[in-house]
Amino acid sequence: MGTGVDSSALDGERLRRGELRRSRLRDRRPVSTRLTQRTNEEWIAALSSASPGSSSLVDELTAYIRRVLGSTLKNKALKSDDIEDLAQESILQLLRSLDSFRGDSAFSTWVAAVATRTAYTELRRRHARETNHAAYFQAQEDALAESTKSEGEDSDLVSKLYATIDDSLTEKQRIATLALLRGVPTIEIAEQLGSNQNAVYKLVHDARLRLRDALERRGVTAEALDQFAVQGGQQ
Amino acid sequence: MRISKKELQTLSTLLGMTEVVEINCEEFLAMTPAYLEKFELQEDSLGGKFKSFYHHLSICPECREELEALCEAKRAGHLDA
Repeated sequence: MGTGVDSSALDGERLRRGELRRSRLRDRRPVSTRLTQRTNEEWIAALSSASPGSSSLVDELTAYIRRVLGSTLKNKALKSDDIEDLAQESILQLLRSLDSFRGDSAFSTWVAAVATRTAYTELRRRHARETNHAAYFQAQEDALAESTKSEGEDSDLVSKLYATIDDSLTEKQRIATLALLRGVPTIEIAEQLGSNQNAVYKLVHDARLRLRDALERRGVTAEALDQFAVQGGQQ
Repeated sequence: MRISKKELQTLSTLLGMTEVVEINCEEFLAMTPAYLEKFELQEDSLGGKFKSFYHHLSICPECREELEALCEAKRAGHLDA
């Protein structure tokens, strides 16, 4: 769904996180967390003509996002200031993303999905920083070291898997694949590789396709892989 | 430390699930609102429209975590309709 939103205006001075947050703390007017009933088209039109930062519409959306995040992040043990920060981050992202609203759901449902994605991504980024990116750097080290070489006790299948990882994947593919297997967030892999999350997904998807084809050429059947995977699930 | 056997087994599971064409996390997010308004229906009644969505869900733990939180918020009545 296209919009005529002036994103430069929406990203203007008053919408800069710090100032907006300060104004929220100064001015805790009661704002309903229920969104006013509007059609999707009315929402987009209203946001398109909203005064940047000072809009009651933005206040209304932010209050709703706060409520949504209070629910979708309830297991994260966050303080109210954290929720406020994430709500501010989310409203900025939302206003930048209006063009991506497809109109196949209620606007409020789309707002909830975008806000939740923004908040989770930010929390994953913060966690990576707090742990000094340890999991990523370990995965990088392991993926680049001559560590995938087979050892004597490996089965034929395991030896072929190690050899295929070594021979078929690029360095970046090995790092990203191993990091994801170890639960390193996509956002961190993207930032470490100087890339973005979509590119990381494609990198690893291509790696999986390459591995599967190369294993097939080495005589490893899909059934053998399934059986090996099931053994892991049973341990 | 090399890639562990356990990691190879997880990778093997993923290789078995790999499709030539897959949606990425951004495309998954674009489909999420429509899914949220229908997820209480039986999967079969959603038709093939969400096939790629379900596939992505099975291989992406981050999108799965977010969707579970959203579905729970929806069930709890915390999302406006």
